[in-house]
Amino acid sequence: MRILFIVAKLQSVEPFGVMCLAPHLTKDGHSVHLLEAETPGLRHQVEACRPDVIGYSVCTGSQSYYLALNRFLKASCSFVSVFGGPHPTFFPQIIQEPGVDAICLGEGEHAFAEFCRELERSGRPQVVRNFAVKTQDGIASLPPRPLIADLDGLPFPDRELYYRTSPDIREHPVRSFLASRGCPFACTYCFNPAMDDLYEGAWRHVRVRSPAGLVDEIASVKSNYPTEFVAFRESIFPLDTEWLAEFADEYSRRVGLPFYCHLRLDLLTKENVTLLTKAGCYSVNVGIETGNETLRRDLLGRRMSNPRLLSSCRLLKEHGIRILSNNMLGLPGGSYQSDMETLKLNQACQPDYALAMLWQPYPGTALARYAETHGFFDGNYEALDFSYYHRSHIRFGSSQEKRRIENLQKLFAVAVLLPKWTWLVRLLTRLPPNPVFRAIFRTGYLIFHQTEIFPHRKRVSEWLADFHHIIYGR
Amino acid sequence: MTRQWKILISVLLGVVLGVVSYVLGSLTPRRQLVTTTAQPAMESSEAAPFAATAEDLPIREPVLE
Repeated sequence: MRILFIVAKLQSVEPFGVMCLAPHLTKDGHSVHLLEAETPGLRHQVEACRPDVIGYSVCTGSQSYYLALNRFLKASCSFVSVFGGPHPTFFPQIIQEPGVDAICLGEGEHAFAEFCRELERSGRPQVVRNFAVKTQDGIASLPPRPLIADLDGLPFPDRELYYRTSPDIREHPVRSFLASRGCPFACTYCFNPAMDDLYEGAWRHVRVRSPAGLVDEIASVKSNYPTEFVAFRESIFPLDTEWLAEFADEYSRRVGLPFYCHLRLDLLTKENVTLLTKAGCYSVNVGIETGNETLRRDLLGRRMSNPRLLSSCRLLKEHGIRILSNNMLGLPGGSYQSDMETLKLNQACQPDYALAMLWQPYPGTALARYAETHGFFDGNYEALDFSYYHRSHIRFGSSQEKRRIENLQKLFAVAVLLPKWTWLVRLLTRLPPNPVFRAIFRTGYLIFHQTEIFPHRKRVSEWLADFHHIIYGR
Repeated sequence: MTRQWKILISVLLGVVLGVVSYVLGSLTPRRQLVTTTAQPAMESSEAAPFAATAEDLPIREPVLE
């Protein structure tokens, strides 16, 4: 069969879902293709490809886009559409939308391959585990199969599929990898607890690749593609001392490139930070999320004190590791004042770049249910944007407060770097939202992310594309 | 380049690009890809029930292995 994946726009961060599915399909004898939806003449390209199956990996905020795209293609082509990724996993009601033939929930590698085998055998979509399928008798679904226990047994993601579709990105020298899957924590705004519910408590047991297996993949990518910097994208990079010691040895010996990873500040010790440094850790992404300890503990489910966050940031800085802090403004039950507390804590922690987002109610998360139950959010997930940097979708005490929070998010990074000018930021947040604040946010992100967090060479065409995005993007 | 320079460039470039974005945005309609993207939500100035507490959030203990 011919299986086509379509993504809205190929960006420098690799589409892991599609890249992980592809080797399993190729092994079964299918031909696998990838197209970018923004390609001129998309419909003709799809017609030329003659796919039996089209797969979309859908995040919340992009579902309306992909549903419209699917209807647009169905008008002229005959294929089975499969929606997978986070949105269908946590909002399976999407199966009821016109044009959606099947959805895949959770880990898709074995499930998608089995679905395609059954489709080829029978000539029509059949329900398999992890899938919900539209049939003549209604919607049929089966629960997910057990999680893949041995991550080392999986084939490496098919990067060539991605780079073949977008040769420019082949030259982008930052390569992403996953060292583990799962998360033991239950932050209320995050997808991980919902995955844990889907897998009846199995997702919280973190599955970690062996250091040797992980470094094998990185070394192979480094030898095939220009690589200057490595980014680990899982929720929390493995910090088990024994694992980290072996990784530090293997990675520094066989790869030796600076890397970036995601950490939790309350898990850091002198010992594991020393090992991270030894391995070549250049920068980390850590969640501060909110400066208000009560909100952090009771609303977000993150039990860590402000002094603990401060001491961990100091520890990272003592070891020369750059810090990108993640923050969520506009929390349900929060306020402009609590967001100013977040600014103050970031000013004390002194990250190299402080990234602020506007909290979005993602389906399946406990915090979204809380926001809906308590009237902060109207439950209309269709209204959510692609981006969490644009505007808030929840209700505040007044439209003026909402405006100030949205403006603060745009000016947050600059305000963290210039604490003496906080008074001016307070004044500026009173102005109506405008393209200048948006451009200051995006320009700062571009410059600091590029130079402080992910240092790598960038071509003129990439800079121009970024500036184009700042001017024309939302 | 020092951090102070980076901040200055970020702000100045941001102001310039923001003004360009505003001028171009008022001259040309925003490009749409296929047929639609998510529609803007209604702004609401209705007061939210701030008396709500977080007690009913199901926060479980982490499993550290």
